[in-house]
Amino acid sequence: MREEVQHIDKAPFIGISRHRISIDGHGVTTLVAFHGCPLRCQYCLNRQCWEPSGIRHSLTPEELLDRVKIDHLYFLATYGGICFGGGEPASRHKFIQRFRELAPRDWKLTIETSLNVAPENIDALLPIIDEWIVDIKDMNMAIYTDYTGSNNLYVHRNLAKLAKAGVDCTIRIPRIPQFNTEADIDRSVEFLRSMGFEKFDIFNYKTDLKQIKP
Amino acid sequence: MNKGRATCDKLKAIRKAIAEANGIEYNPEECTFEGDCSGTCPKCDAELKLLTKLTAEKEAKGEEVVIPTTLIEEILGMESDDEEMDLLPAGIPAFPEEEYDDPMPGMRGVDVSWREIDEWKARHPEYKEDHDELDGDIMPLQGDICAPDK
Repeated sequence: MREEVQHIDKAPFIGISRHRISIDGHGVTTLVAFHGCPLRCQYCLNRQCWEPSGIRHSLTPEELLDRVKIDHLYFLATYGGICFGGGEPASRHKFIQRFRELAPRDWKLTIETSLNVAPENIDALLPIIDEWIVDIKDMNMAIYTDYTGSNNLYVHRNLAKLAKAGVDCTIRIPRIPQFNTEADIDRSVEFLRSMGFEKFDIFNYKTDLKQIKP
Repeated sequence: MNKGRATCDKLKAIRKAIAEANGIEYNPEECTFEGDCSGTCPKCDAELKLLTKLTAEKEAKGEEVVIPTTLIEEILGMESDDEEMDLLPAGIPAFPEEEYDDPMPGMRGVDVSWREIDEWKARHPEYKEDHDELDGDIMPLQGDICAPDK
């Protein structure tokens, strides 16, 4: 019986960045940054992912593979691979699924996500993503909503999925000037530890306070 | 040294380590480029493609292709718990020369000069598309979020 080939349309990208050594996960990685994001973070530095003019490439999974395969030897030699970022890569789960089918199995797939997507998307990604890097902003819904313009109900549900699945996951918690405090961050960590997460990266945002509307 | 040049040096060392571990002659000439290095260039990419092609051919002949894992982890400045030598899994994608009507000079498997590379780049302005600048080292990362300040 002839195998049915899944057809996936082109996805928009804001950029493809090669040779990121030990920045996005292990080894040599290529960052593939999708266009489009459900959030409107006040300090977002990738605002091109909100605007149609920010699209630099439109590629099918096959075309993306063709772009990134040049670094195959580096990926194998360093246990690296592709890191999907953006934008919100988890919104493009079908594209990533198809890419996983096409790419050499030895390529490690990492995703940098806010998890603010439908839980079905995460279900689809769980079996194919090797490493998760999750920016939760802040677990406090009031802070989250104030900062991103969206609530974090999906984030809570999807974190529970990741915890249950026991995936390799680093939780990134930003210090967000004017939005959260060290006490808020401690509360987020405490809550996440209670869910079973163990790897945390607490960091400062590069911010331009002029971005904040009065 | 700028960050791009440091990346270039590491990648070149990885290529050399793989070539030596597999008995492939590889003697990259000293890079004389003095501008801002992005970490790769047509010459480096051509060398990578040639090495990939030669290892794929080796594998196709049924010979083992080895990766000096420990050495490479040292080059990258990472710790390794792996064996000194590891086998490269099957499935190396070859880069047939017909992929380009006018292949990169290094794909011919001979020493190439920067002049040849510059001439090739002049004939292939589309090549730049494969190398997005992405705000250099602050191209973030984290899905939808901002760059980490560290």
